[in-house]
Amino acid sequence: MLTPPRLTLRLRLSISIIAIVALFTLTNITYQVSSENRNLRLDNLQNAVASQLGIVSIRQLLENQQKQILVLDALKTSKGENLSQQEVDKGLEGLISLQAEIMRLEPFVFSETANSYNLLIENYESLNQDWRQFYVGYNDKRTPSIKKVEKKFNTTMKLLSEFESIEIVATEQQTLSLQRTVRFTDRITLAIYLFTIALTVSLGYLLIRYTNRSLNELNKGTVRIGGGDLKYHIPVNSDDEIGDLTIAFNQMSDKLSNAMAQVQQSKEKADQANRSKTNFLANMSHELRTPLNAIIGYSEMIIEDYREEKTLDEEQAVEDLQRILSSGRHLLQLINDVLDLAKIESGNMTVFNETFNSVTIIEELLTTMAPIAKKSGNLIVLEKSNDIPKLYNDAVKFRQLLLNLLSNACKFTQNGKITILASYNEKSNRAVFHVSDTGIGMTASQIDRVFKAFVQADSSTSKKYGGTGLGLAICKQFVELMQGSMDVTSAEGKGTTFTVLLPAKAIIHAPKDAIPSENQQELSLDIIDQTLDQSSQEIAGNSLERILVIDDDPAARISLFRQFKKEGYQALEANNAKDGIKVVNEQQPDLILLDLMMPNINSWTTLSALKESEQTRHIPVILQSTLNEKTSGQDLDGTEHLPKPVDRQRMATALRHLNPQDRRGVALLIAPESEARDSLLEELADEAWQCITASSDGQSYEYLQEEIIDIVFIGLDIAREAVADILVMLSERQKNSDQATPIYITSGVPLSENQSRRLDLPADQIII
Amino acid sequence: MIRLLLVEDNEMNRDMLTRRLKRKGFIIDAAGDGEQALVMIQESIPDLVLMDMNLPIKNGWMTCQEIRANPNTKKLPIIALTAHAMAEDKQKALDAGCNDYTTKPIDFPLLLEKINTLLTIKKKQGD
Repeated sequence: MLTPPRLTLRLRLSISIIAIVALFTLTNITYQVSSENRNLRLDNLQNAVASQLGIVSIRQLLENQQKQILVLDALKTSKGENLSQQEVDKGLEGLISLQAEIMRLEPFVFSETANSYNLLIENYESLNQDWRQFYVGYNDKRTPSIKKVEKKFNTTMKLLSEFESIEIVATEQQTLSLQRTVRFTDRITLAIYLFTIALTVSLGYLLIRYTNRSLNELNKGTVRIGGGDLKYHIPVNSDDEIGDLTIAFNQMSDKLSNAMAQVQQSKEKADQANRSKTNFLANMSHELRTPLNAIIGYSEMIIEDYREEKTLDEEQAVEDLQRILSSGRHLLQLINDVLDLAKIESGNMTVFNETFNSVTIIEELLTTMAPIAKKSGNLIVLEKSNDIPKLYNDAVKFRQLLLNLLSNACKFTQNGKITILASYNEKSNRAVFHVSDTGIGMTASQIDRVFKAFVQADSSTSKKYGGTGLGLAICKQFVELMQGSMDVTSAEGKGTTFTVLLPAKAIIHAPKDAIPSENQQELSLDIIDQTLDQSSQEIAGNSLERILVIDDDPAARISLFRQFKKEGYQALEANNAKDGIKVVNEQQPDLILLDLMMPNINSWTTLSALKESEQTRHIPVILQSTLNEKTSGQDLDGTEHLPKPVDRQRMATALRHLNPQDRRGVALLIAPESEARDSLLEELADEAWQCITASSDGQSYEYLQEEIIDIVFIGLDIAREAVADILVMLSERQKNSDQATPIYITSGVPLSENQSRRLDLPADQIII
Repeated sequence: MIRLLLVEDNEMNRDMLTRRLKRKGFIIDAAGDGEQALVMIQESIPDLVLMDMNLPIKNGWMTCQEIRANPNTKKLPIIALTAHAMAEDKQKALDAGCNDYTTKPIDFPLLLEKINTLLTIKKKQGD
């Protein structure tokens, strides 16, 4: 089917112009026709006049000729005179001119008058012949009878009159018809002319009115849209160029409106982000100030005490220092958490995927958590299905995630049950982990906020239950980084369940060379260990004796210096890189501790210098910085990274890594058989310790007397008196030996600082 | 002897401030939440209150308002102690009826000065 063409403005204008031109042409044609008719009429009139004149003249001539004939005939009859040749010729000449005159009528003969004319000519020729005869035969007396001639003459005259009358009638008729035609064409011309004028005016009017209306609408719309009403749509009431323009304009305003909405949205988002940031900052300030208050307050108090009384109540002072320490640790945890969050938010948190068994990690965590659970009287139960595949994900983050959830569960549950439910959803190919507790639970509004930074269910909960309020926010972000999802359900007073879904990808057996060693930003701990092993082997045979500390901060330097001295090392110090290198060259230390954040000194250059020189290349370097980064230093051999503030335990571990002689010792574990003991055994075995266990004090006495023991772990589950006895025995042993045996006390329940002090144990470390 | 009521839920901070203030010769009563503080004030009105704002059960702002609503304690000097350090936090505390405000970590000499100033004003008004 043909669609009718669009009535565009252009088409309208074209049609109008064509119509006007056509009408104009028609007017012209009719004018031409009428003008021609007029001319014809004029010609006719002229012809009629000419033929009338001709007829009058012919009649005259005929009558004259007849008269002359009659006169001549009378003369001949009466006088019998002859005609001279001249006179005869003159008569004949008259006849010829008469004939010519008659013949001149021929052009004026119409179809109506043709018969009459022919009859006239016929008669006249007969008359003419007679007349001619008369002249020629006049002198010979052989003239035709005059009566006969007269009769012919009369007939001719009669025919001439007839012809004349018919000619007049015909002319009149023709003139009349021409007149009618002229009138008709005149009328047509006028009509067309008027019609053309009317058409032009109305077309112009319509065009102007219509265009104006559309343009007005457009103008109105433009003003409204220009005034900010981007939702306004200009009505489209024509299917032409203006309609197109209107549609285009509406589309433009739609796009503008969308763009504006987007801008508005981004602005709101930015504002929201800004508010969140401000809020975060305010919260952060609050959270940092709280532990700082204790740190500053207690420190000031100790100084005041000492200044005022010149002595310190030792018990009180240690208790206060312990508080400062725990606040400091809390502060550090807070800063680490915030850094983790910032790292995640800035997209710098890398995910290091590996294939691991999630259940193994959970089982390890249960061991770690056991003492904490015991402390709050909770029971932790693991329920697992057997079809959980190995996960290909970030094992370290997985561990941290579950540890966090378990600690939370323990924190908010007293004398309850914590269940870990590990299963596999085959349909969605996801590993599902539920961590449920029977604790205080949360209200609906608390659930809404639980994954937000610095939000604990109640601001007072952080005071009651501790924690930075960042753990769950970090967990949530971790899970998202691990391409999983995390959710929570809770009933107030009944308990909370956190659910973590992680993709259970097909087990990928990553080939060894698939772990890039150069590009990988974060090396796994195993690789660090390997690196350290290598560097340790390089210095194999030399025990760790001289340690150089390079740090511009005197407090940090002196603290480390003292610690090393106390632990029996020969400590060296330097407060800048230049001196440090000098000391290295002169004294050849076995280990260098290098601060990364010294003003005006690029420590990396120092490190490179140390690693480039033949004499110093083999010396292991421990990098220290307040930045929680361990990436850059690993490009160089024999380096370990320790963040500041230096944690003693971490330092000890780092030192142990670097000292091959300490690596294979004999450890004595004095504790009744328990999960905690087994896990400690495993850990020690991993570290290449030879382990001896004693579950009773009698047994341990034997071992202590007979064996060379390098380290002792005592579980506090052992009766206190027995512990005391063992310790006495150890200290006796140490007096006789030139090397001190480190003693660690492990405990299922935490000891208050007071308690441990009262125990008066020469223990190096209390592991809770 | 001047008797101060310290309202603070954080055990460490309560212990620290109590001891430090005691050494300066004040008698210190301590409360761990707003509700407890109100009960203690009802029993005997102290000379001045040191109030943490983020308190369990009844927060510091509400507690202050209730103290001000009671005609007996309408003029009881209150110093807000809080780890909220923004300007609007200060205003919020003053709006709740606190006479003065100090942020944590506490500048102890400044706190003593504030306590003394308020007590002096109170004494003058009392006279």
